[in-house]
Amino acid sequence: MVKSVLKEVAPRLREVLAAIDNWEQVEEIRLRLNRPLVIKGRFGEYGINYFMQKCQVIDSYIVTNEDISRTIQIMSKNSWYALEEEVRSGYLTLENGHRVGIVGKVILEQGRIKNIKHVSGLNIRLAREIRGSANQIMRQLFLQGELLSTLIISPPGCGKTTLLRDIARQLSNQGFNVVIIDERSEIAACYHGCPQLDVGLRTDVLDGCPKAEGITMALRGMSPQLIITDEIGHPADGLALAEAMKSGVKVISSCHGDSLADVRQRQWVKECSSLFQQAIVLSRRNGPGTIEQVLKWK
Amino acid sequence: MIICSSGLIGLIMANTYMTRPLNLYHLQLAIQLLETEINYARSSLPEACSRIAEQIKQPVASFFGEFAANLQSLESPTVIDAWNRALQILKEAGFLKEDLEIMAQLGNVLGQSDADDQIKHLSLLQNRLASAIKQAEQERDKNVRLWNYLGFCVGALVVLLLF
Repeated sequence: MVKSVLKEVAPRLREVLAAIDNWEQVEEIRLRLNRPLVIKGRFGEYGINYFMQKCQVIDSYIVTNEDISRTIQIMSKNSWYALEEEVRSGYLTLENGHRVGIVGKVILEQGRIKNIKHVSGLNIRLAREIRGSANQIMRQLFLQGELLSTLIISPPGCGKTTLLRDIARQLSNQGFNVVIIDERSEIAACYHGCPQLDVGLRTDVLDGCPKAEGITMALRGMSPQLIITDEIGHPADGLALAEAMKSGVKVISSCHGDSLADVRQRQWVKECSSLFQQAIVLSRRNGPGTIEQVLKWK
Repeated sequence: MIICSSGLIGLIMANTYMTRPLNLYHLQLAIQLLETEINYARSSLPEACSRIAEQIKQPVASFFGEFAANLQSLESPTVIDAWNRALQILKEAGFLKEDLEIMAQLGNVLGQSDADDQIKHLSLLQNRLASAIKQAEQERDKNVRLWNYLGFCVGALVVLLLF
């Protein structure tokens, strides 16, 4: 599944990337115009030279304009205009759930981002579902058989999203009605609205929807028992989550941060922290998804 | 015999003048549909074009059908490639060189820029097709009757000269 990304890049890059032999550990493929190709992952990073062998980044294949523009054409199905919304937010989601970050010359219209022209860099982040990544945390989510509203605190890159996805899958398969508000299309990796990753039998996904509005929409129409969302950061998100929790819906959400004290200072927390029943702090100490601390305040 | 065959040639010539405005009109209609698809639905080119192929008359339908199929089936296709291959269909269907040239230009820009820009290109193409239609209609009015009669008259003349 990870390898399916090869279909989405320029033919020349396809040949080069064929040299990767540890797909299971690769997290990112970085294409920067006129600079070396970089493969990143848990192993660190490496490049691929012109003899299609792994090498130091400095000796790696130099990415050309042709590589980048062909890759974009393929990824966009030759329809750049169809991706305006995605490009404006800085990334697009591919058919098999991989996500691509885009940088280049940003075109503004009345102070707002309109488009990106002259794309100079692509960061292909490979989607992988790690089934069972939530196994450890699942026990913590219940207290005397009752599901707890949980705030997952973690710095970037500690497997928050993978974890949320697996939690959604497991709880949904256990019988909970789950709604995922997937503002950045990361959790379910929807393509044309349809989840590309397994999020469970009873999970509905609001894809690309702003969290605050999405939570209200879900409460109105989808009668969720559990709402899962990623990276709260805005006071409006906090208010909407509070609204949900007050009406008896459980919430599992993640936010960026190192510790509870760190998170406590944020604006949005004031709106809803008393309604969360526990916080779980993650780190990368023993690989992504290490549970650092579980704070129950119920 | 001679009168019939030369009359027939005249009719065929007249017919080409009859069909050109009609074909161009269907082409213009298809481009209009494509503009709508891009403007309102932001559908991708393969999706939009296969939908257009279902809605429009031949031979324009098979052109758009072929274009969509090329985009999906070719090994990492470029628009220009898929577009030019599909244009062969219009060429075989008897489109004039000048009309094909107007179409070929769109292949260079289609799908490569944001929606506003695409719409500008598509309306420009529509305008050019509209003026081509007008011209084709004038030619039709001028030539259809001419060829209809000319064929038979020439046939009759040849017969007269022979005997």
